[in-house]
Amino acid sequence: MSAGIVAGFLLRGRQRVIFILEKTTGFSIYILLFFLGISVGANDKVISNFASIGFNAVVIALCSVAGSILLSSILYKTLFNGKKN
Amino acid sequence: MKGSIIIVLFFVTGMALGVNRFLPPFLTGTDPGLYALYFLMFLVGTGIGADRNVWRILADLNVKILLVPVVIILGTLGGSALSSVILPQTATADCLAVGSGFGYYSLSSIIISQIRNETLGVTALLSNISREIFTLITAPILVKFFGKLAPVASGGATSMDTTLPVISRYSGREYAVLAVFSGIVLTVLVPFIITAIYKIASLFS
Repeated sequence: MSAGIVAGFLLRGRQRVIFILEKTTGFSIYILLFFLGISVGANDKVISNFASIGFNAVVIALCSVAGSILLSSILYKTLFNGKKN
Repeated sequence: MKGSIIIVLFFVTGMALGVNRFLPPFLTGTDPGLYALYFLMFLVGTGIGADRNVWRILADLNVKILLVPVVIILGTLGGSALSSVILPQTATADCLAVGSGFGYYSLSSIIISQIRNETLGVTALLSNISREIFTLITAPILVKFFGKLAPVASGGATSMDTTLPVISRYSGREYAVLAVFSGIVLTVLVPFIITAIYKIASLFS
């Protein structure tokens, strides 16, 4: 990824190259998730536990979000002069 | 939103094919996936490096802004550590890794299924999609009760793209730059934090 950032920095301004790169990134994410879908579908453990996986996922998401919101509101009130703006 | 739907469709189509075993065996191995992941990491990096906004924002950075992603990371890790108490059958490191997707579900689920297993990869996918959807839906409420930084925190890595419109609408345009900055930092850090969590966890086991 660091190599990519350097390459991107050198390529900045070349809109056409960047456009193609962005399309490729989007496309490779689709392909990878497609592959992940395939191996997940072929994995009986995942399919039979789908409900509990979903439950775990939502619990982790809500806890992470709650934690980060809590700290951010403290930061907002102390350093960002909350309320006023 | 359209992008998210397309991504989920690709995943679901792959899943349907996998369930029906409608595939040549070489496609179900994980090795091609690993190299594709390295390639993807390179592309994501290139996209960030080529973004003019990134370098402009970095140029007029101040300490206050820098604290935003730091606080989001700490809060997320704290929250997901707490979730491992609620979910005793899931290892703490696994909860932390899933949480450290910061909403970047495409990359985090792929990395986690490579490092650990597909079950956890799917957990990461669903969990981080939930984070994005939660932010999109609750942004106005979050601003009201927890201040203008709250939707940026809730959005995590997505605050630079998918959740940016709701952030700039409910927190105000002056928070959009901050949201992009925080989102970029978190996006760059996702792979490093997830790998670090497992490196550290392996020291204790």
